[in-house]
Amino acid sequence: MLAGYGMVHLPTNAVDFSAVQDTKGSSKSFPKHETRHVSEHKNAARCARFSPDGRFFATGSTDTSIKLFEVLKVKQMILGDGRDGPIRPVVRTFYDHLQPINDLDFHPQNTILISGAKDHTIKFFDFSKTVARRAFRVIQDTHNVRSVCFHPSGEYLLAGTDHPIPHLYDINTFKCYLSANAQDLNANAGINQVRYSTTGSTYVTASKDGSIRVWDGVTAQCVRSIIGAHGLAEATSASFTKDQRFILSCGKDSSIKLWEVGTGRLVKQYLGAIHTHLRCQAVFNETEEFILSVDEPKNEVVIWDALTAEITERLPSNHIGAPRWIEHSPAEAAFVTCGNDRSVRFWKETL
Amino acid sequence: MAEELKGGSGGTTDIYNVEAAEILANEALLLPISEAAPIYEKLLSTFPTAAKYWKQYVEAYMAVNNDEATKQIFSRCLLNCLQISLWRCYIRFIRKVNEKKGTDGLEETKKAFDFLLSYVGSDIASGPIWMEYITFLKSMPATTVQIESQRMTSVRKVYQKAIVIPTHHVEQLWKEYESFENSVSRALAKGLLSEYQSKFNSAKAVYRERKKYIDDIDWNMLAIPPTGSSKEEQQCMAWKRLIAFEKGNPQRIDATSANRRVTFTYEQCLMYLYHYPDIWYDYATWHAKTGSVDSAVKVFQRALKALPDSELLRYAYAELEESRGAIQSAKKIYESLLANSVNVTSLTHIQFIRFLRRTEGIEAAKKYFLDARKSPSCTYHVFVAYATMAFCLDKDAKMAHSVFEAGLNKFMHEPGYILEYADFLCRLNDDRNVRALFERALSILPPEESVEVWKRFTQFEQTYGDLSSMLKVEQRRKEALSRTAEDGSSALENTLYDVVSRYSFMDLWPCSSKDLDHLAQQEWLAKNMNKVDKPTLQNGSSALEKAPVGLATNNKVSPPSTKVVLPDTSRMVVYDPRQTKGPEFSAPSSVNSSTSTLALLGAGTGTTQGIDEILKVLSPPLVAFITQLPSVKGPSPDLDVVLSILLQSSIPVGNIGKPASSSQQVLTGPVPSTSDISGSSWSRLNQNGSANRLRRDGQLGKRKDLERQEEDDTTTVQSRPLPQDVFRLRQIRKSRGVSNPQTGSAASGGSAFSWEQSISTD
Repeated sequence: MLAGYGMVHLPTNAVDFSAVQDTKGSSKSFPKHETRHVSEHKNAARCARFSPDGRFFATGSTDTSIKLFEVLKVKQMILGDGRDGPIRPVVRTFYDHLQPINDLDFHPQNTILISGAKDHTIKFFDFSKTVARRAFRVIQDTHNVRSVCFHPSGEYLLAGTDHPIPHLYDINTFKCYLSANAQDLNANAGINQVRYSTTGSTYVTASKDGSIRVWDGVTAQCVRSIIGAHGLAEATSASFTKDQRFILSCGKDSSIKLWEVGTGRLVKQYLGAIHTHLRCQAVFNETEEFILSVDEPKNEVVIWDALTAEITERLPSNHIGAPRWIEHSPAEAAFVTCGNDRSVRFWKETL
Repeated sequence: MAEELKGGSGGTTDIYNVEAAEILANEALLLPISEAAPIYEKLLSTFPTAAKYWKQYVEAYMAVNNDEATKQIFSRCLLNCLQISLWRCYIRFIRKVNEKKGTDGLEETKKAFDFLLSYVGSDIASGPIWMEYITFLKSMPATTVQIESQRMTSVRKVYQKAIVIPTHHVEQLWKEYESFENSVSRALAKGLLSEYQSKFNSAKAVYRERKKYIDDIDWNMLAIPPTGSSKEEQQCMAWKRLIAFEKGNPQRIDATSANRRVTFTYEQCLMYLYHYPDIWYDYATWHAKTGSVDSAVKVFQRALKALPDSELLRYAYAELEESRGAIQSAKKIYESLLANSVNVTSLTHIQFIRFLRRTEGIEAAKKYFLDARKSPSCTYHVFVAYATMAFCLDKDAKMAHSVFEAGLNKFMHEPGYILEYADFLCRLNDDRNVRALFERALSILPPEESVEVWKRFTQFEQTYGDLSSMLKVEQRRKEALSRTAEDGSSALENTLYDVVSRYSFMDLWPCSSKDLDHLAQQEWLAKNMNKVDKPTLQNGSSALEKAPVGLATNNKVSPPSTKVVLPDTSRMVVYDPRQTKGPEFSAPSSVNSSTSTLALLGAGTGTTQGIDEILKVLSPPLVAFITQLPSVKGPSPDLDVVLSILLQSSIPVGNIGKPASSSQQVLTGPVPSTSDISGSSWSRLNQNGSANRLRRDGQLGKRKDLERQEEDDTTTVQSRPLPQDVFRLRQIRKSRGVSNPQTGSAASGGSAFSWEQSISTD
């Protein structure tokens, strides 16, 4: 009876974090990766995001530009397989913002990239066209847009801003909606990151006051607040596991934590990397067996076994100064780092 | 290592482990042949088309001069592995064996060359063999003039064959041929060469094309069953492109030679894509299409050896046999399918019954059906298939009826069977029995399995019954189905929707699709009206703590959360800061939101009450300042006017004695050390006037400032102290606008300007 919305296949989690308890010493080893500088912005590269199919990724910069990369071409470039001259992995560049880009997201079905920026706007770019460098739609928000995330249907998007409550936009009408019970929340700190779960049934926000909040995807009511999830330090990233049962969060208190959504219980902590200054990200690899983040003073990419919470690898980032952002491909063993040294580095498993 | 691998391959590990195979092969290289042989045998039983292992194996025997074993191995592999280096190995062996046998030996070698070139002569890398052959022919002793002219003729023939094949060495061969002809007879050469020039040219052109396709192919790959990796897909496509290229006969050669090349390409392809049923099938059908059905049959036989488990290939093979009239062999194939008792399914039975009906008639089919229905793997499908056959092909309604009736005892609980039986009875127009059947079935089937049966029953009544029976069945259906949890109690009532379903016919509808959408939405809303309320009620009583899967709200609405859940915006607050005051403006928590407060005031859209409320929460200095602001019409006030007012107004620098703000001043770079009021009014205003008020403690303020430093990425203009006067401000703005052309405007004007920009970009 209802129009058949695209079914999302819920992947079963490769790792059941709640099941295993005593796993000391049985950490998996992270496959060897090679890295390559793939492009450079004119100023600090602030954020990166993969497309849902892992075929593209985009980076946003302080220089207000957005670069779109095709992963296949990046790989060809790494292989040095330039049969017809050098390969250019950057397939599009967009210039339309007035201030630094904070976050990016890809439309789940269409060739649309959105960006949130300090200039209080969310812009829509169509990357199917080869020539368009400007946005074809713009949402004017009231605040610095720090984080953007598409609903899995592609019909809505969430914006996390300096406003303590996430903004939900209907992308067809551009109407903005807020949670109806926001007043009771007593939230007054800006949002660093907002992410939907796989089916869109919930979303999570990481706030500047160190709290993590889980919101109902249908009603936008806040269903769980983990106040002080990262003490008084800012929570800088939060995202769901694919099975929607856990949330991985990262904060400026140099901790990375895994929470059970159902109970709000702290399941695991991933310690040993210092991150106190940047909007540090903690991300899963594509199988959710490992967690990747950044150690700022040592300028390293740190990798934990997700189950045992032991550090399995520390890789020199090869950036000048610690990377600002790390993002893993949802489809394969590959990730991207970018940083103040303006460069974008691609990492992939050595074959 | 070898033992370990051997042990592993017997167990759960993948026998097609390429890396393990490579290691094994490398190890075998170092072992004496007697020990290596079993390893090779094992490898080759897994990878029967791995030419490189065959070559390694045979070379090991050649190294110890075991001619008998060498021959044996060659006879096993050559025809399946059309690979040049393996075949070169073979000719080397033949030449060595026949070296000392005089004329007979030479004749043998010549035969071997001919044999070889007939198989792999069209390989792109076959150039050197052609050359070797020519050199060999030239070196044959010529005692008489007659023999010499014979020899010359055969050399010419080989040349003429070689130069029309698109190989890497085609140009070199052509040059050699030219000089050969010229050395024989200058007079004749001209005519011959001009005749062959065009053929050579087209071969050369085709070579360039062909090379592109060949280069895409990985000639080192081992044949493993498809795993779906992108590399495999790529290789598969590369092969298909090459085959399509060869099928197109780009060189416009005669059909026989062209076909030979396609065959050759298929054979090579199957060395690598040995486990791909589609390639085998394509190859066989291509043979059948080009007229050589016998070859097609042979291909199928080989395919079944390669993929003994492929049911699909067996059916395809049987179809080919049957279509060419070889009933007996087709039957054998079916019997082989059935003999493999593990995977005999109903489908196999059905296909065999149909085959028998086609080829041997009613009786044979019946006989087999009677056998098959006793088989444990026989499902209701066999009954349906046989009854339908009897009814449609034999026109024997009575027989069909009795088959259905016989099956009913066994398959009463299968809704699928009931539906088929009902269909059959409908075709007989036997409505009394249809009703009886439905009633019988519905009394037995549990409600959750009877949905489809009920549906068919109502449909049946719509066609056969009168209005009262129609409505009665519909009502009964509702009652029966409402007991299943899925449909819910609301389904009991009669809705307009039911009328739609009763009064539509085929693709004709009693309403527009818009009406239909509306109805569907209404029904959905009504259904959810009851459900959604529940979790909100529970929310108060810590329902979340009880349920392990906390977000019960959604899980209840949607079946086990495999669907995308959409937001319900009707349950949220519309946020439009341009018209209404957002619920958060009571606490402008940062520079940005204070500027948007200003924007709100400046835009003049807020009510006076709204402004008053805002003023209440602001610090007295800021209030004093705001009240001094002139009223402005239109969405954006003139920047210069505002600036001049800002600079003129004397703002008390409040709270300076607080410890928090003093520590903060040290931390924040932007404040100049000279306490020039007019110059630093911007930063003062922001830090002391509005923002400071909200920082409940120094801790928080410190963090915010640290964060600002961090966010301003680099030591760009942004973090410098703000300039001293309006004039300089404007100058800087202008120069930034120019020096920063890619951003299109004064992008980095600092947060103080963002308000102006956010309006201008609107």
